[in-house]
Amino acid sequence: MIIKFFFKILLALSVSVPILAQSNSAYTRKGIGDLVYSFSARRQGMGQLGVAVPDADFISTINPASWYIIKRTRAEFSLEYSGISASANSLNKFYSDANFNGVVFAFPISSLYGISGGFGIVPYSNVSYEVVENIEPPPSSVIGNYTLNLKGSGGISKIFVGTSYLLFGSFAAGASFDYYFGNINYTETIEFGRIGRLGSIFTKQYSPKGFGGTFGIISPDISGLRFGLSLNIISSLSTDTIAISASTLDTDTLSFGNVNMDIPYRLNAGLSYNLNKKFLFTLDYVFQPWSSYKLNGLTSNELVDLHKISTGFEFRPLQEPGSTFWEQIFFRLGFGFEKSQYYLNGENIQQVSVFGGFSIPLSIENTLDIGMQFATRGTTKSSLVKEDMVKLNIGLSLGEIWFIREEK
Amino acid sequence: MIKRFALIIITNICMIILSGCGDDPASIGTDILKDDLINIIEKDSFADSLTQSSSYFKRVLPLEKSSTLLIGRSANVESSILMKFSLPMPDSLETDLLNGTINVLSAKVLLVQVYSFGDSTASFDFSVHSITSKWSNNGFTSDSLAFLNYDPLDVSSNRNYLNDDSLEFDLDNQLVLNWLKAQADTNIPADNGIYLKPSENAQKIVGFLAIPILAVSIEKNGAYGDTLRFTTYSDVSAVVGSVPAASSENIVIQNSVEFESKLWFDLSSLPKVAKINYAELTLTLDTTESITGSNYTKYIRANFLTDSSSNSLDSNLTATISVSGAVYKGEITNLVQNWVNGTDNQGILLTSAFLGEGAELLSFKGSNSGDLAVKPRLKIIYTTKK
Repeated sequence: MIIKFFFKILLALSVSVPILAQSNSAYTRKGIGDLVYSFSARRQGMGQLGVAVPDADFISTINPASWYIIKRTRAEFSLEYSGISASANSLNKFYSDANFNGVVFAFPISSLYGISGGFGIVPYSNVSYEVVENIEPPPSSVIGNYTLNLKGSGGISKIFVGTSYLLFGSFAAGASFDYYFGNINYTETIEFGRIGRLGSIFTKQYSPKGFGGTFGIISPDISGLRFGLSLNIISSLSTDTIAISASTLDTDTLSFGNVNMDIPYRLNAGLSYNLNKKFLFTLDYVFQPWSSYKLNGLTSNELVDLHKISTGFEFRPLQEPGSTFWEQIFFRLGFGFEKSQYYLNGENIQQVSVFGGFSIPLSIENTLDIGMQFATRGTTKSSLVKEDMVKLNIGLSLGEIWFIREEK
Repeated sequence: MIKRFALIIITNICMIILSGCGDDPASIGTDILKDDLINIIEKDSFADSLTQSSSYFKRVLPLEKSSTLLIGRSANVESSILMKFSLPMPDSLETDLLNGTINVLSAKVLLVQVYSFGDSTASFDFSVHSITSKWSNNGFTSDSLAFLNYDPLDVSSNRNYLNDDSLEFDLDNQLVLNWLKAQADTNIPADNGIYLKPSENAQKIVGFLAIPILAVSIEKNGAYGDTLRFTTYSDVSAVVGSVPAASSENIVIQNSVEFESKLWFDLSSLPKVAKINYAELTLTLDTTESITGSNYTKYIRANFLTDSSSNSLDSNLTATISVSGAVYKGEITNLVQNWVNGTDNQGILLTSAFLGEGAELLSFKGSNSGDLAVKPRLKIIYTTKK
């Protein structure tokens, strides 16, 4: 059974892992890029958050307290397609990419005490943009036509290991120990049109690493209503930096060293209401004071405090004998509004999202999850970019019974 | 179950395919990334009045690797030729030589002309002398002439052009017979070759292929006759030159003699982190003072000086400066990048493209020229990060 379980995981990973490309948004140049709230297609379908939702067949990375109810050993992973239609200065372009979104595992240890363990690797942020501009100086210039290419890639990922515990009064608590790491690369390239002009490349790389933690609680079920709270804190990340300039003649290291990257805490608060175990409603709020983000002790005047609010709905049919395939499908909807951390040219970049999704049962405990997000972000005012995004998240949620003592 | 996993795989593949359906990157977002833009800066010694200096000097070079042998006299240059022939022969001939039964009927030296410098119609003649002191073409320079001894007797006769390109002259038969005997008998002192010296009335310089041919007709007391052909194993030009009659503000390059020029620009204003994308050196030829031969290479070299006091250079750092009309222009990006990277800026050494070939005199407007427009000019495009 265990072998079969891992076979499923390997099957999914074999398809998913090679795809690590990302979407294209110039906003991700600021700070550590776009934040990833949830790796999973399930949460994607209902607003990405769900801080107050304990789920027996889903692993939440936002609130480890939600693991207390897990009854099976579970594994989940997902792949995300992202399409962005970006508009600025009467120009419109469409970019698309696909991205492996992470893998997480969880397993029950003691149902009585609500103790479950969990671990996994998920993205925390993504940096992905590429801008190309062709410049035509006056004909009298010896420089001639040239092309600028500005590119950013990478991001920060999180490896976590944690546990949940059922406290007094049926309050669930959970905590995870997180390790953050990653590479963020910024590359600027210039290529000249005239023969004999050598191009040059300037590269800056940040490699942060360090520890953090996620702590959460979920209240007991009071007539279907729960509230949840989680706090994600990150220590000052030790960040190796290197700046390189290169041409076809030589490569120079302009600077290198180690600086601190201070990522602000993230506070998640939410409510959930479960009606007849079939209808789930969520309302969540996220706050992260990006105005206090520091790199090498310096804050950025292009980052402000982030506020995000989202609401979600899930219809979960009861598992009854004789149900048809269609009667077993879960449906989800969501809505989100975000005052993002980006503040550029006097404008706070805001995002409005509509979510949807469903889960197709593959077998008992196993589902294929589809999540969709339609969002619009930014504005064409103030020389900024308006982005209309569609994201399609496909995930696998697999569950098996492990560690069962056989009757003699 | 298989169908459902097939569904997963198909879905994944669809996402991979979809991910490739996008436009190429465009300028959308440039304003957001303005802090990352690259500074492109143009610097021009003409417009920016970069401090510069120039001078020229004489460097005595050994010319043993030259493909031509120069002889004659023109402008500030006088050149002569030394040559020694390699005389291999069969053992039977050596025996006959030692027995004294061989006579030399004639000995002719054939030279193929490939170059001339000066008025091509001007008079030209030379004399040939037997060298009496030892010499080697390895490292032989014009300075070595002072230590060369030769017999003042002219051992040549019948110096004639067979056609426009081939010159032939006879060598004294007895001299050549002595060479052959010395070759056959190691007890006889080896010959030291001949010295071709331009005559006093020579008014041009002629260049011959450095493959002289010696044709020797011999006979053995009426028993047999043969013509032996030999070529040189040592030959070298000795080019002597005085300082050219150039304007004081000019700098000169002259092949073979050898005059070379130094040029220096103050580039201390370039940032240490700059990437040099392009650097172009322009030199203006003073055509009234420049003299070129019948054929010459239409470019010169800009070399990276490592020590301007000893005029030593880095042979790996060099650039080609080509001519167009009266302007020499070339890219010296790699030289400038090295200075920016911190290598001491000792300047540029301007030399002919092929050292020791021809006697071209190129006179350029120097840094002291009163006319800014004809001074050596350096244009640089460089990039830095904001």
